[in-house]
Amino acid sequence: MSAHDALVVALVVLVLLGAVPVLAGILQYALIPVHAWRNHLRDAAPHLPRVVVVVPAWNEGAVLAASLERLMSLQYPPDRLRVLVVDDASTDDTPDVVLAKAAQHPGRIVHLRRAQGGQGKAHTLNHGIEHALADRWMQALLIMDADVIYRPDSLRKMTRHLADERVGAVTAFIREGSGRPGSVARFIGYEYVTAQAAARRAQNVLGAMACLAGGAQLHSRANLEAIGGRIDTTTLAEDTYTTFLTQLDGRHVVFEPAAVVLAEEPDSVRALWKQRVRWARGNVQITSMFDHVWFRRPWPLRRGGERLGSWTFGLVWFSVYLLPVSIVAATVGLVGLHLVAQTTALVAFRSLWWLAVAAYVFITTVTLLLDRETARRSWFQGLTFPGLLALVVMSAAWVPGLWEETVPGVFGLRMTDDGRDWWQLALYAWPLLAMLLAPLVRACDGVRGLRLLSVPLLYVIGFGPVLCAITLDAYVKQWRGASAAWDKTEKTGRVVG
Amino acid sequence: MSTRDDAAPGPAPRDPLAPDALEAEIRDDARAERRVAWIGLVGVLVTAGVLVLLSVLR
Repeated sequence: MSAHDALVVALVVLVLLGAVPVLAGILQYALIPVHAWRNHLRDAAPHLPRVVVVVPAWNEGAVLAASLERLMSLQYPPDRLRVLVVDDASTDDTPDVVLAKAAQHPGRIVHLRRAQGGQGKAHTLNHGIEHALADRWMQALLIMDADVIYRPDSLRKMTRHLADERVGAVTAFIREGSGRPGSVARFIGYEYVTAQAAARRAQNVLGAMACLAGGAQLHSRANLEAIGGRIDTTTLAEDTYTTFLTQLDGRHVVFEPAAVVLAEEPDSVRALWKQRVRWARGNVQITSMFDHVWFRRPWPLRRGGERLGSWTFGLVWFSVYLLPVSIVAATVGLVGLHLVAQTTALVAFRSLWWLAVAAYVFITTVTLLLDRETARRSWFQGLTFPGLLALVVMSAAWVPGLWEETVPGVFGLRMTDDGRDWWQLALYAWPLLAMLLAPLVRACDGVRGLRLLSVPLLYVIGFGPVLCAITLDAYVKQWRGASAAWDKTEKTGRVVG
Repeated sequence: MSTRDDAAPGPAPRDPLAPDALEAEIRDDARAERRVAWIGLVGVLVTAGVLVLLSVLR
């Protein structure tokens, strides 16, 4: 093999690396229909344990009254439900709100105040968990966020899985539930269906759960005690850490799609960026902390958790974790091929994007059908999730000459050879360009005069590339050892349930 | 005389937390979950249809 041929093969391999996340996405979605039969409902049974709900609260006065009232009206035996609000030394009216609710529901709502706050959610939760574990009354513990609204039947739909002692923890479907969502919240609403209603069904089928949703984590007492009776305080993804520990200790984690919890999500790119960088940095930490788990089936420990080490789960985890890397690989591959073997570059580009079109149509269709309520609110955001310019690239891959000849021809124009060359390079490099341009959306959001531009730019560049850019930013921040202080997302009480 | 006063008492509202109601709810949710098989099938058919249509339009 000549050096030229070897180079072409290496570049084709790089393009194939770019196809891995697309294939992993198709694989996850192909597993969803299997959930029709392979789910935990056949092992569930009526079960109403005594539940303590721990609500961490730091300046949550605007949202707590509604969420506490909804907890009190859950269709769950009142004598089997207690709420501990752990007030993380709030400086707003949080104590007044909680004490007023406690007076309305004596014995069912308890206000715990930490003298010193600001250490982060995990510390706050541990204060409540310690209090709950000290009392033998508690049989199960629900960790939630202060702003979320539980649907009346949601808790009992979660507890039924704990009738099976092999189950250590259960999570629910968190749906974006703002009353008047803007574009960012609508994108998040669609994304939550893909990341929860879809992906967690697939993970139920695989028998390995990536993460209990932070706002809806129900643990059996046995599980909580087995994992040390506290939440890890060293990572930014304490919910993922707990999920992994539960499974590595031999207990199952179940996603219950019929248990619906409404949450308020960020409605600006800046707030989204702040929240997601924290999540993504948490995932970088988790990937490193559990480096002995990945692709190690059979799991060397004696007690369970082996599914976390399966190739399929590893593929699902790393296809998200390494998405920016695969985008860079595919771009380098295509641009490199364009320089050394143009015909191969064209074939590779068309093959990659044909696959992307198939994945886009399949994933969008299934996502919109999975959750009709979100589909009604966010169908346009679903269609434009990859970005309007990515749709242009898809059309260029499907219809050769469309943008080089047909469209300019309509206006009586003709593209020069140099123009064609640059156009082709731009198509090849678009996924990387989109990821690099995504910070512009955040920058516009931060400048008063340009704020109006940020939403149109978000549609042009795409919500998906923005999430990739956030992951890239998280890599950089983690690598540079940037401060990892807890940075709470501001909630204003927009949820309507 | 109010007809409401004369109305025969209907069946008592079902307690959603009664064991038999909870059992029925699990069965109903298991049955409802079967829709994801149809959703998957629709997804495959729509994808195939779109790919065929795009191929014809090329």
